[in-house]
Amino acid sequence: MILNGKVPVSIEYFFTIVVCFCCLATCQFITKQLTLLNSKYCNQIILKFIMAEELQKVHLYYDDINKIRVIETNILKETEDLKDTCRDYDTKIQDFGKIINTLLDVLKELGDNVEKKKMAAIGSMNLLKSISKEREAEQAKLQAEINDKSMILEQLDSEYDALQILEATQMETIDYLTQIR
Amino acid sequence: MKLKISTFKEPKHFGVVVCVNWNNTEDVFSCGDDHKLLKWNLVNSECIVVTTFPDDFYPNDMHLFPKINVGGNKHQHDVILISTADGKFHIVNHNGRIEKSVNAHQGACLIAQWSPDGAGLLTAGEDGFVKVWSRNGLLRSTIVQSDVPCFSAVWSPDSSAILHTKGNSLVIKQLNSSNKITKWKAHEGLILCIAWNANNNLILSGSEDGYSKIWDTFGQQISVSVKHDQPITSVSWSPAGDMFVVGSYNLIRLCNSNGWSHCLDRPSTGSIYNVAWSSDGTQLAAACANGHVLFAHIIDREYTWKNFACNQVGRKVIAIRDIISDQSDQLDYPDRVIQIALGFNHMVIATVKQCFIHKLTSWNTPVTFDLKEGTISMILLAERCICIVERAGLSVYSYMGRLLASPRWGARPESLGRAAVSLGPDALAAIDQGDRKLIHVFDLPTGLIVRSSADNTVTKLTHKMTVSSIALSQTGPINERQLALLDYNRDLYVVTVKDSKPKFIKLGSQILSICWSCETELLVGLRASSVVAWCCPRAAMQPDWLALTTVSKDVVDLGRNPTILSIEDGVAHICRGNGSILHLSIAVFPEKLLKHVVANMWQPALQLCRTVEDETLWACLAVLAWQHHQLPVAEEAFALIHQYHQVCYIQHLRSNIPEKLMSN
Repeated sequence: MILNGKVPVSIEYFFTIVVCFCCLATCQFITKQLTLLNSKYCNQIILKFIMAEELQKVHLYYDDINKIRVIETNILKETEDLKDTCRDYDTKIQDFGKIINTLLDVLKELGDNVEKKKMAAIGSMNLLKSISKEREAEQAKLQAEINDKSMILEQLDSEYDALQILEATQMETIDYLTQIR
Repeated sequence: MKLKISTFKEPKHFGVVVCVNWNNTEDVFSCGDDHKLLKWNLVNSECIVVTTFPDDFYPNDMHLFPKINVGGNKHQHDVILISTADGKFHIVNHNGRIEKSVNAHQGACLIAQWSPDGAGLLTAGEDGFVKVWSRNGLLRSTIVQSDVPCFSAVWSPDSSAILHTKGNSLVIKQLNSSNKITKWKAHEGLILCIAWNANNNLILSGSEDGYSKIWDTFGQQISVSVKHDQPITSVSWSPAGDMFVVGSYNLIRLCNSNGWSHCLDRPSTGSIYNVAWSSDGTQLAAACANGHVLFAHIIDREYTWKNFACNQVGRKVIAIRDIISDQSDQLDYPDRVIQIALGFNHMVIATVKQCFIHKLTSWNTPVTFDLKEGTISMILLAERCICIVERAGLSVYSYMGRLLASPRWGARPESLGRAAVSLGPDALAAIDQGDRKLIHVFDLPTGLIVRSSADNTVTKLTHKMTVSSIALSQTGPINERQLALLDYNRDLYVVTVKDSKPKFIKLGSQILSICWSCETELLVGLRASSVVAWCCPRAAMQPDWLALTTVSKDVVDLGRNPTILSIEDGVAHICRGNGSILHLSIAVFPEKLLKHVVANMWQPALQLCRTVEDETLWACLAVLAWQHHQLPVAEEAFALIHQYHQVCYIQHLRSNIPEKLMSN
């Protein structure tokens, strides 16, 4: 049927029936085999139970993969859980420590920065103060100079006044004399 | 007036400079905390290390032996007195070798001063003791013992008393009478520095409270400075006593002797611990805390006479200007200018080595002559001669530069003030420095008379009181030379020098300052609030005539201690207490009249009086005509001032003995 590609229907049916028969036979066989296997396995489990009960009396246990254990399975499980938890805890603690260290570093850096800024602030504050003092000194200096200059101005003013009076007197005299003439 | 400050670029002292002192007008010694004694030369700008003292030698005060013209080994005079912080004083010669060290005080020895006559020295220390030692360092006496440190002490100019500080008080202790002391509270703070001037006899004090004050010797305050922010660390009088300088932190101030400030400088030198004037009074040296020694020259001194004005613009440069023709010029001199005098149509400039006499009509061709010594303290001018006061003595020159005379009377010329000497056209008057009641008047050879030492005749006048100021009249023949004097009580007297029995005639009282006119016998005096002109001082024989010929004018705000500078054509120039100049027209017509009389022009004089119709003027004319035996003029004048008895007398004289009087 593969050779020429044209399979006659009859042949097709035939094959189908054959395959069905074959399948049925195989199923019967497998079922027989399974029951056999089942009975064997059951025996084993029953044996195992019996053994476990015996071992339990001397505080020995089986585990899932049939290894003999000293500790009870659930306790073992819990212990292992505990172990895991502890490991977790340990890693977490380490992480925490790391975090704390970084935090400390950060804080220290911050502290340093703060200290630096503080010093700078104090310095600039002092500078400011000294500037204001300098300003005051400068002001005093300028004030003193102003005082000096104003004193000189006063002198010159009074000299000017005196000269004006003198001029007026002389003009008066001239007027008087010209009038007489 | 200004200070021109110069420093050497690098400080030569490492550390504080404590003391400076002038050796002569060019050399300065300075000593500082770096144990070095340096000598600075200003001419070639050199600084040499004289010596380095031991490491424990911290100087506090230094004083060079006073330059006095006494005999003896010159070598002995070249010594420096230095006091140190370990309580010792050291006598060091100019080569820097310590000749003697004497333990003087517990604690530091703060002050060491030679006496002005050079006979001894005083020391003052932190232990409150003031001690007087002989020249050789032997203890003579302990003058003062007290429980507070004595920060400053000085000799009185005549070496007879000691002024010292005690906290914020000043104390004058007489040396000869054991318990006579004058003590007064001078400042609110600790007094740090004091000075006593020989010329004006005034005391200057500077204190931590920032004030500097001037006192007379009785403890009366003459003036007080403005408040300084920092303590006053040094004060110093100029040798002539017309200026002083105040040093403080970053500050140096030059003041007039009336207390007002000429100028203020703020060099960044730190505190100025010590200031010293050169003996010619034109240069300063200051010891600064930053290791510098600061030098300053006085420039910008202005002088005016009539239409001429001159101004010292630099150390060696004078600017002169004629205001009317607006000509101006800068005159350069080979050396530093020390003194300037302007007047009588001449300008006289004294430099370190030479003297230049410029005629104001042609100022580019001066007459020059060499000077003996570069320490000129004063130049006086008169109509026909110049008087130059040097440390070596007084010399009188003609305007041609010829030496006319060198009068000697045992004076110390460097401490001679302007009030104590007066030059007339043919005479020189001076107050004796030992006995201040005595006045010497020297006749000067004039004109073409050949000079010989014998014809310097001296007239000695003795007043009943101490004389404080004298002035010779500037005109008239020599036998009418009049001397006006102010005595200690401020009374004004006039005396005719050549009288056989000189009679002191009192003109007035409470006169502060006097001045003769340059061209006439007009005498002007200054009272506290008025100006008085005596047109005929010789009329003082008759009190009513004196009253009639006196013009007085009230002036407000003359200030403290005004002085009259000059009188020209009846206009008085007065320097008020605050330093401003007051021009006051006081006796214009009388001075004009006096000029006519001097020229013997009686008709113009009469005409002037008739035009002006002023009673004082008529009185002046009357008195002058009477004195000059011009009877017709005198008759008219006396009639107009209602002195009818005098008119009758003159008429009587004219009718009886006309020939004899007229022949006079």
